[in-house]
Amino acid sequence: MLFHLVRKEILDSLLNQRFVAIAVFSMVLMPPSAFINYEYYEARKAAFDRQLAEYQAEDPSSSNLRAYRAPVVLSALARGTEPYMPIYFAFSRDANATTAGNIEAQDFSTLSTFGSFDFLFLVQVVFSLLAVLLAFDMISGEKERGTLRAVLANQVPRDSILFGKLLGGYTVLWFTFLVGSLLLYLVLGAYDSRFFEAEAVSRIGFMFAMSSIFLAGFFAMGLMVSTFCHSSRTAIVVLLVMWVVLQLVIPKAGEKIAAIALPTASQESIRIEKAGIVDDLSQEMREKAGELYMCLSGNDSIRGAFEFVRRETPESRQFRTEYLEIAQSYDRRQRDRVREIDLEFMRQKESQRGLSRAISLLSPASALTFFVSNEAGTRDLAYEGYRNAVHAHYQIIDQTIFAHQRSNRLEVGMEGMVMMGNLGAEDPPPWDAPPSFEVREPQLSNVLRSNVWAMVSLLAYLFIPFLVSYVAFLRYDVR
Amino acid sequence: MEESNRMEEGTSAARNEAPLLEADGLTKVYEDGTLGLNKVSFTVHPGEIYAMLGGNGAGKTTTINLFLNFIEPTEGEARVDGIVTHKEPLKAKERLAFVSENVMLYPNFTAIQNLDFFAKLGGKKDYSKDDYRDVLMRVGLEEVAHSRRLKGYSKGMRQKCGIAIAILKDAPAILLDEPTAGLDPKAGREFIKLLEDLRSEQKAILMSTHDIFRAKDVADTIGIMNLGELVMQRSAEELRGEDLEKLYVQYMAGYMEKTPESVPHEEEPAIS
Repeated sequence: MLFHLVRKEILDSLLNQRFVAIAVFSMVLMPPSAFINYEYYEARKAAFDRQLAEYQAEDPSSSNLRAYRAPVVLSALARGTEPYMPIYFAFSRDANATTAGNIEAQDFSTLSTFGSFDFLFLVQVVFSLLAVLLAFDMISGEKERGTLRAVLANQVPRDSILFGKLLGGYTVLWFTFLVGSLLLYLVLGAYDSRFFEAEAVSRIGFMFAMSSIFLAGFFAMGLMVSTFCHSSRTAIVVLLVMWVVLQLVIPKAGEKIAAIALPTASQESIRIEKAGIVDDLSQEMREKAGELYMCLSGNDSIRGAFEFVRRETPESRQFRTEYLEIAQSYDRRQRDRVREIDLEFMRQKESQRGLSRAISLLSPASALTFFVSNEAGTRDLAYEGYRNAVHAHYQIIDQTIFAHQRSNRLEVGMEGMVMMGNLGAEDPPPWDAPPSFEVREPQLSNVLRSNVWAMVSLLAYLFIPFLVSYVAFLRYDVR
Repeated sequence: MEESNRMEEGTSAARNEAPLLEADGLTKVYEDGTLGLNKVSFTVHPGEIYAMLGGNGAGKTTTINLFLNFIEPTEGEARVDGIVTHKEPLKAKERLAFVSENVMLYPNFTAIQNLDFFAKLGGKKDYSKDDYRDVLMRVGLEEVAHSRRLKGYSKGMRQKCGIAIAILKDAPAILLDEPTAGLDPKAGREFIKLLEDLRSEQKAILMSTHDIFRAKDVADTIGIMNLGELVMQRSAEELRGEDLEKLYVQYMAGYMEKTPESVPHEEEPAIS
């Protein structure tokens, strides 16, 4: 019986010219999306290669150390936030440590409302609308036409009817999606054989699986609303309102509510605060160094400080020893203070991001965005991995290069004048080539683990609407 | 069963057999408090056509809905071949075929596809396309229309499809909700002929209708419903020579009181 009902739903959908036209249109959008996004990836990759080559061609210098991360090839499926991620971080020996470099200008095209015209966009917007358009009159339309009375007059259990509609309608939707996705995949594969590698195949497989669940969720929602409404027109209006709320309002509201509930300082104000602390402590350190110089040299003028420092007299040696202690003490204080600010800022940001994410996960669209773009390596997870790798790399550079430089730095202040230079002769950089930087992309298992709540959200949006429509349909009084 | 509403059974031919359709004190009060049906009782035997007459809101469709378990009774029972519909709805529906006022089938399907779907839904899995064509021919649907989508069908043609589906199901009891509404005279006549054929096959037919004249032509028993109550029930024999239209108007206007004494046996209802 179920097979018979499923077959009827499939046939009914395939004979519906309006549905077929929209389904074909949705499928046809997939290959151009692959073309556009792969071209975009290639342009980004070319720009990256050019910058990296220029950087590597420069003389190795401690003032020009950078950690680059190449655009990932799966960004052709979901750009995520990659255009807003820095291509490199630059390192500096002062306490401000790292600076994000070369963030692309934001895309203000009309598509930026949802994101880019990529696989994720097509699933989130085009195919979810297709799911809604397929489901909205599955029951309400039958009520309106009177065919539901004709069906229910037979010895067919109501749950079979509902399962038949879910399975039959979704099969049509899923095959449409499958064909479209295969077309997209083949276009990408024709461009780049990396899409056929095992890692990429499994990641794309998971993206497709979760997208299928996402679409099933929208279909189940359509079925739920259709069960409650007696007119198809009411059903489609209700569904479109729900679609807007789930696709547009909740994801945006998440960020806004989190920003109001858990406000944080801006990046710029944190940068200014850190720079202020560094300046104040540097100033204090220079003044202390000036007092030490005055005390040991007996000179009340900063002129001649270099000669004094480099002499091999007991006073000069004592100055150098005590100066290094002062400098290292202030350096530690600067780093500790800056680190405190960074940690506090990161803690606040993490709380804000956590709340925003929790609210956003109330929308299946956000859940899918998190999942797919993290799978593609174009969202928070990859960015965090990059930041952590940069931080670890900085520790290496700091210990091997910057610590050496700091131990040779001389800054003395007196009467509003500052003298800056080296304690001794300038040493050559203690490396042949800059230490190489490597960032490892998050592994598939890590991505899955960190997206558990996104998967829970997607599954909840499938099961809850179906459960509600199931109960409502069983209790429905046919009139 | 409420004694006050118990009606005498209809045709003499069918009375000896067990009824296939029984309404026993059927009462339906909707969630908003509206009284849909009030203690309605009647029976329909094999080979009997029972016509329920009444205006809009009289309770005719509610009665049919209760037989189909589309809604559950507040009190009383609807039984099909002895099976209580709200207790064993699927078993009861196996013995029922239903044709509604506006037969609405799947507009994107052809007549054959619709018949195939509903026949299988009704548990008949062995029919061939030729069987479908035969039954469509029997109900008067020309061959050229068999493979056309139903979206181009007239109401009469859809009605014929509905009857074809009911015939295919081969259920012992048939429920017809306003089956002749909107049919032209020719289609109406053809429909009546089909009903007579089905009666001769010993089907028990319960039909709700506004059409007094066709009801009188074909029914073995006629019940008049008003405001959820069965206010009159008489056999065709008892009504012979009576002006059914006048009787109907009097009952609908409330001139006639529904009493167990007056309803089935009065020669001529008095106007109070």
